[in-house]
Amino acid sequence: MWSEGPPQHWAWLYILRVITLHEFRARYRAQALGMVWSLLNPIVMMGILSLVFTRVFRSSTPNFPIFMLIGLILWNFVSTSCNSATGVFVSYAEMVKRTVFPRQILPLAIMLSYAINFMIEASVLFLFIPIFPDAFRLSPALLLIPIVLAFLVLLLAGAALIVSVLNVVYRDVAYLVNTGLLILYWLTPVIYPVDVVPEPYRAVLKCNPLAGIFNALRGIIMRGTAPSLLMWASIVIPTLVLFGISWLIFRHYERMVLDYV
Amino acid sequence: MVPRQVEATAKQPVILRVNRVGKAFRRFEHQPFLLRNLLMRLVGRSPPQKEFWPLRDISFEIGVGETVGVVGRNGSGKSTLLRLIAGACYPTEGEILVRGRIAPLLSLGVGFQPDMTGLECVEMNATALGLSREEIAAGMEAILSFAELTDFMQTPVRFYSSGMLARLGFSVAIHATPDLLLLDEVLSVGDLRFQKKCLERIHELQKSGTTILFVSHGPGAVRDLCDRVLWLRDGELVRDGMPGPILDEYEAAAG
Repeated sequence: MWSEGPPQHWAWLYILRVITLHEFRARYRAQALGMVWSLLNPIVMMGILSLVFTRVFRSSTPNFPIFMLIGLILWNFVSTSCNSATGVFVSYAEMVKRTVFPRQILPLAIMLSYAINFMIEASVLFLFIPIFPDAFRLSPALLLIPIVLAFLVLLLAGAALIVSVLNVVYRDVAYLVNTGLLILYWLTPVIYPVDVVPEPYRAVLKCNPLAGIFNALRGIIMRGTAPSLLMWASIVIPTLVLFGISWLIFRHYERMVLDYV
Repeated sequence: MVPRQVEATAKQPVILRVNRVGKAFRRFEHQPFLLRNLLMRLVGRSPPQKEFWPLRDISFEIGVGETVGVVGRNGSGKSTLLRLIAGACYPTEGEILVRGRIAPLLSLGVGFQPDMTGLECVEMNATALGLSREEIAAGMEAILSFAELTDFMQTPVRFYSSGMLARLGFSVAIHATPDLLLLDEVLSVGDLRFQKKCLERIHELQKSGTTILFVSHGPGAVRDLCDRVLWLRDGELVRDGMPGPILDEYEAAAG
C-alpha cells in the first residue's frame, strides 16, 4: 500500500493527552502556591468587583457576587486559552519541525489544558453554596451544563486553531488577540447582566455565542431555568459555523506552518 | 563490508519513490504583519514574494533493505530532503511516496520539547513514530536503558546534554522498528562508545532488512555503512551510485 505522509490513527489522541497533561502539570508546577493561586484569583476579583458594584454603583442584580464569580471563571477560561494558544507553534517549534503529527493537536491541547484549570476553578462555586444559598437552584436543568460547556469548548477550539496558525505566519497576531479579547470582554456579559443593556445594543450581544453561553449557564445555575430555543440557536449556530471556518483556515495555513516555524 | 550491486537491489520492491521533487521557501526581509497584509490586499498591492529553492527536480527510488547515504556540503539540501521524506514539510512540486513506517531522526534533539521530561518525550516521539500506547509501555524500559537515561527519565530534557538528547532520540527511533529509518547527522554526536553501540544497532537493523537513509557531510561513516550514495550539490542530485568512486570524487571536490 502506497501512502503519502504518516499514517493517521487513534494514537494521535494519546499525543493530545500527553501534551494536555504536560501543559497542565507544567503550569501547576510553575505557580508558587500551586493550584491555590488559580482558585484565589477569581475569588479576589469577585470580592473587589462585588464591593465596587454593590456599594459604589449600587447594582440591583440579586446575588451579585455569584453572578460575578460565574462570569469571571468562564472569562478566565476564554482569555487564558486564547492567549496561550496564540504562541503554541512558536513554543513547540522544535517539535513541529522535527516530528510528524497532526498539527491541530497543539492548539487543541493547550485549550484543553486550560479546560482542566477551568474545571478546578469552577468547583470553587460549591464552596459558596452555604454562603449564598439563594444563589443556587437545584433543578433538572443542571444536567444541561455539560452540553453548554461542550459548545464553549468547541468555540474555544475554533478560536485556538485560528489564532495559533495565523500567529506563525503573522507575528502581530498576539497583539490583535489581546485587543480582540479586550473588545470581546465588553461584548460579553462578564461583569454586567444583559438587561442593563439598552435594546438596540442588545442585538449585538445576541450575535455573540459567548453571551449566549454565559447567560445560559447563569440561568441554569442561579435560576434553574433551561435555555430557550432561541438561546440554544444563538449558541449552537455561530459555534458550529466558527468551528467549521477555523478548521478550513487551519487546513489552508497548515502547510505554511511547517515552513515558517 | 562488501557493497551490494545497485542493479541487484533495484529489482527489489521499492520502499521510497521521490519523483521530480522540489521545495521552495518564501523569503522575507522581515516577518509579515497580518494587519498590513490585509490592508495591502485591500488596496490591491500584494507584497512582493521572493522564493528560494533549497531542492529542485530530485528523483530517485530506494529498494527495501538498501542503506543509502546522502552526502553534500552545508546548504546542499540534505536536511530538507530528509524532512520532506519524513513528512515534516510538504514538497512544492513533485511527489514523495513511502511504503511502511518511517522513523525520522532529524538531527540533534529530535524535536523534543525542552520543558518535557525524558519520559514525556519518549511518549510523544514514539507516538509520532506510529507506536501504540501498549507498544510504548512495553518498550519504555528498553528505550531508556539503551539510551542509558533510566535515572533521568523524570528530568526535563532542557537539562540534558547534547549527547543525552541524541542518545534518547536514537533509542526511540530504532525501537520503533521502522521500515525506513532516516538518520540526519546523528552519529556525529555522542561519545565513541555510544557511536559504536549505535553502529552495531544499525548493522543489526540492516541485517533484519530495515531500509536506512543516512545523511552526513562527512564521508567516513557513509563509506562504512552504505551500499549506495546520493550526492547533493546546491539542491541538485549530481551523483547516484556506488559509494567508492562517488565518495572519492566528493572528497576530492571538498579539497
